[in-house]
Amino acid sequence: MTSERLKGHLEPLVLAVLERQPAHGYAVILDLKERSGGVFDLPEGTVYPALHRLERAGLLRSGWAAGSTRHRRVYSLTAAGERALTEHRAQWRRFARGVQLVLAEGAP
Amino acid sequence: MSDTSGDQPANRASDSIDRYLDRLLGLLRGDPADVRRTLVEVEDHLRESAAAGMARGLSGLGAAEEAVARFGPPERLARRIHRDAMSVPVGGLVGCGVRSAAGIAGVGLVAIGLSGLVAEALGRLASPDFVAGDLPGVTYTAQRCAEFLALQPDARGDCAKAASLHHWGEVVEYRVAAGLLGLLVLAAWALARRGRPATDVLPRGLVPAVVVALFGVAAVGLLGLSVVQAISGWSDGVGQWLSGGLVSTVVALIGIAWLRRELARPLDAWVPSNGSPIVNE
Repeated sequence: MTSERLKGHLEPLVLAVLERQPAHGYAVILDLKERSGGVFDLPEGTVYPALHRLERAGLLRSGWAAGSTRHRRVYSLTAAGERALTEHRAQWRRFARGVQLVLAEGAP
Repeated sequence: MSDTSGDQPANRASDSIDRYLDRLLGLLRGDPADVRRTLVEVEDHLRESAAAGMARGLSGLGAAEEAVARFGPPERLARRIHRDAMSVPVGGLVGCGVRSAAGIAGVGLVAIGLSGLVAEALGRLASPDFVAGDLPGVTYTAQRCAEFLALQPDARGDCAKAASLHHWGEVVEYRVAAGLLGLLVLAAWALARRGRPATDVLPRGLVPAVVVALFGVAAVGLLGLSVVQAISGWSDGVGQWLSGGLVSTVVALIGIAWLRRELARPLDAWVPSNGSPIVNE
């Protein structure tokens, strides 16, 4: 799926990935790809602007973690991020239910 | 992809990632701390991605080039970062602006209150005339004199002295009242900040810079008035400018120290829940 089609969905997806545990950008990309069954195979650079946007909005926080050879920026959900994710999920369920009801109308 | 040159593959792989980082560095603009952070994150990502490629059997060069290709062109990444930096949410901007303005207004009112206390001290140390004496040529009607004398019995029939005492009292009382209002504003400002995420859409150092500019101009203006009036040979009333100028100077100096600390402040440090050690930036 292209990053264009993911517009508006990337941020909640990133929040959902980080809900499980703190992670750095590369791990977020891998998790997105794995959990989507390979559907979200994005240009990997797209995740960083999204991470920075979410942090500026107060939904994520981050810090440098000392790795074995390099320092890496590790991201984690804030309380506001958890609330935003819950709201995104509710909105998505309503939207998906609506689409399903309309599309299923003509199905055999 | 295979290596065909005599160069060390590991070096060539590193060159490929370094070239990408150099191109990205040439494209990124803005706060140097943000640029450096982005570069460190991207380098970490590319090297980890290349290491994963090598673990899958790719050559060092092939793995690095795959990592770079998967990351996407640096122009697109730089464009997105710049676009995000330009699109500050209006609500957040207004809220942050109002909170900052309220904080500055509170500091300003408290400074006025402190200048009232300084005016009180100057009036006691020098004379009420030094703070609130009238300029040459000022006269009062008999009725107004009678009012001053009724309010200031210590003046013992001296209308000018009664007026000075009265105006000195006003200078002190009104300024101290403004200071008390400032304390209330600052208390409300502190309450409004509690529990909010530590996000700030205003550029780092902007608020202390505004404080320095406002109080610096006030200090220069008020001290300048004091000097000009003193040089002109009329010391009555100098204290009202001098008191404000002294306090403005102190607040401006505190603002400079705040600005320096703000600009030298490391980005936020955070200890993740998994307990990994954190290195402050």
